[in-house]
Amino acid sequence: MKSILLQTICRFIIPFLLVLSVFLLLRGHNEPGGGFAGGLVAASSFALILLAFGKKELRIAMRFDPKSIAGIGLVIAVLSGIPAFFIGEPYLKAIWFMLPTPLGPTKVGTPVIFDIGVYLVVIGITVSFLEDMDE
Amino acid sequence: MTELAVAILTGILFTTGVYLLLERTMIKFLIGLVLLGNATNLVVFTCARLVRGAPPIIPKGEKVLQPPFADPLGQALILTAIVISFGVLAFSMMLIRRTYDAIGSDDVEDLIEPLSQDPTEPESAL
Amino acid sequence: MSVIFVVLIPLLMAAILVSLWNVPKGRKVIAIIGSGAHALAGAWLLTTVIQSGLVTKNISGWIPPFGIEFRADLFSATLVALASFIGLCVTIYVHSNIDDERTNFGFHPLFFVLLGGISGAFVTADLFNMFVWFECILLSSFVLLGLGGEKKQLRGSLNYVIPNLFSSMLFLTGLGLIYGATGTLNMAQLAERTAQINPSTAALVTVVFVIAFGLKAALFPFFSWLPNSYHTPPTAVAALFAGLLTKVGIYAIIRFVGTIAPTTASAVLPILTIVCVLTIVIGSIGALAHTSLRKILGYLLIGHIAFMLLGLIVPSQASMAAAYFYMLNHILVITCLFFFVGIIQWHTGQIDIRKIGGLQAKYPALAIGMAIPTLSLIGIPPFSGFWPKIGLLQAATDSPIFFASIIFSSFLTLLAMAKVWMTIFWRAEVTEAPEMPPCPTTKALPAYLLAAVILLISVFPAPIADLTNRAAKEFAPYFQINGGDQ
Repeated sequence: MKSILLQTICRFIIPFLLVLSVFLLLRGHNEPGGGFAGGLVAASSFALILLAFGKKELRIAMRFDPKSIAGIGLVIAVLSGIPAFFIGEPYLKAIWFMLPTPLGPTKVGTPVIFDIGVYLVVIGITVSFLEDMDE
Repeated sequence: MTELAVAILTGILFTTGVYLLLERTMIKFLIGLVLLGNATNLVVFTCARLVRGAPPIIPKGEKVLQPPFADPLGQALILTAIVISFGVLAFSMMLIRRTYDAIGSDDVEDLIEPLSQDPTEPESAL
Repeated sequence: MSVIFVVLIPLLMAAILVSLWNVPKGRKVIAIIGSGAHALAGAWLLTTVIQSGLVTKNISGWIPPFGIEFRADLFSATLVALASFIGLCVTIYVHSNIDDERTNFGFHPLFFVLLGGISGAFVTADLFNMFVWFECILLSSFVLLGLGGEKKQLRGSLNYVIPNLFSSMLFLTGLGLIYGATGTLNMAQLAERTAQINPSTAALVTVVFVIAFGLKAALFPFFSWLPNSYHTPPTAVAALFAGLLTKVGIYAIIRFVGTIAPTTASAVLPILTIVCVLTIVIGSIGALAHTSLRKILGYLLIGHIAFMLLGLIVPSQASMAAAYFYMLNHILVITCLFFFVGIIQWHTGQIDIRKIGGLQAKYPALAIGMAIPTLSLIGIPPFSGFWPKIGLLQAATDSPIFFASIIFSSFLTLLAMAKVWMTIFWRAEVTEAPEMPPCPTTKALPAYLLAAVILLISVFPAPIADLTNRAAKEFAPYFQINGGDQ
């Protein structure tokens, strides 16, 4: 028995939550936020889909199996330390460079990639917990 | 003075944790695990010196941290330990749930194989 | 760089295998390729260390007291290389040993996390980082042990979980204490500072750590979990655990007392001697009491573990070299024996020696293959167990009670294995064995490969003896402080 009220509200809120989660992810290095917080906000949006629409729609919304998403996140996180090898530094050394973007030069670096990996891991694990608990 | 109070608290937590770890019901074992984890975290926390109201932030205009500050490394260690013991706790919960499903009872004694049963079935997996 | 790869490759393989969770097809082949890469990385690390000495790397570029350092000296590098080789053998064995149900629930990723944790624990030079790797090992071993969910797995799992959890709590308590006393967690800095703090505090911390690691290594009062849990998982898992996990505990004790806190050794060594002797005696007697092949091997494992601490108890280079050679030999021998027991179980469907018989007539190759590690375990010349045992006996002349326990244990091991051998190989066939297809290559290959390696070491022990001598030289500060001659 799915509530129409919840479904209607979710159609508005879920895109906002997802954008908020990406915002938290990218802002994380020098300000509050980061991969863990962003991942949990994204996972909460998926939890809303699960509650409002059900498990089948959740699977359609998350195109891949949540455990695979977690695995890909882990691979990204582990591989984010590899670029340091190419400049002779130890594994996981942070490499920052200024990227000229339309909004002005922004600092981009390997910790951001690591954070993206963490983000995917948190989403994958939390959503697979939620799926299992739904049974 | 605070250290003494925290030390006594840690001792009480360790005692109750170990006592519950040896209990017959599996749920009490889980609670004992939680208490033991908390006791260990308190030990690490106390050993990194209890300092009141002095976050490790460099004041404006200075170059280095001024001496009485709370040690961030100790708290980072506790954070890691809390995360790990949370994972372990989640696993133990699932293990106990699965054991309950398999033998239908909460009692650890029901898991014991009677010695006479030992030779009849190959008790190891292939 | 090789020191990073040795930890990075298994973790990367675990991550890749998790992302392939729902793709059952290529999993086992990918796992074998990954294990092969790990074994190559281990071999690369070993050759680098042999040629150029110590290899260090600061993770993330932070300088040592503030950052985590990976340090591979010869002692660690050999163990890592051997662990990765054993990992490769077990992965090949797993190919035919683990059923689809387990692989679908994440057997392979956990296996690689376990290998990564073991490699990390061997090469790290930061005590808290060692705790993190120990927890990786712990959690993945919990799940690997319990995977399968039948009653016997759950029983074994609970028997394993409780002592190991308690040991990690104790490890953390010791970490808190040592951090509070010295203010650092880097092993090299700890070695300087533990000499300067109050000796009774240092002794207390050492005792806490030795108990924590002793629980993992199955030493005297804390060993009962091992025979009660190692007979429940599938053979590949049991072989990996028996070969590597207890040795990680022993390595941690040697690293702690030998490198980090050598000044506290005089407080701890008397107790350690008694603990080791009792472990040897009880383990050897226990091996005689059981009739299940796996339990016999479990007790023999306990009985031989304590030999490896002789290097600490008698502080001299010769004893440390002999104990280290014994550790390397024991890893190979025990894993090989577990593999052969798995093959026997495949052929006969039984694990109780009272029900097995006539294997010499039916499978002569198996008998020859299993004879090699058995004789090596007992220590009969010219097999590879003999060379380190002679070294141990020579070193133990300073400690007569240890000498007596080595002789006692060798005799009882001979008795136990002779009983097993006569019962399963030389007796006429007892029960009707089910008709099983011939042993799959992926089961036989690792077992015979390890037997061949043991035979090779038996015939050419000199290179290994040189290696262990060089590795033992690295503990020179320990020998100086604790008053050895060499």
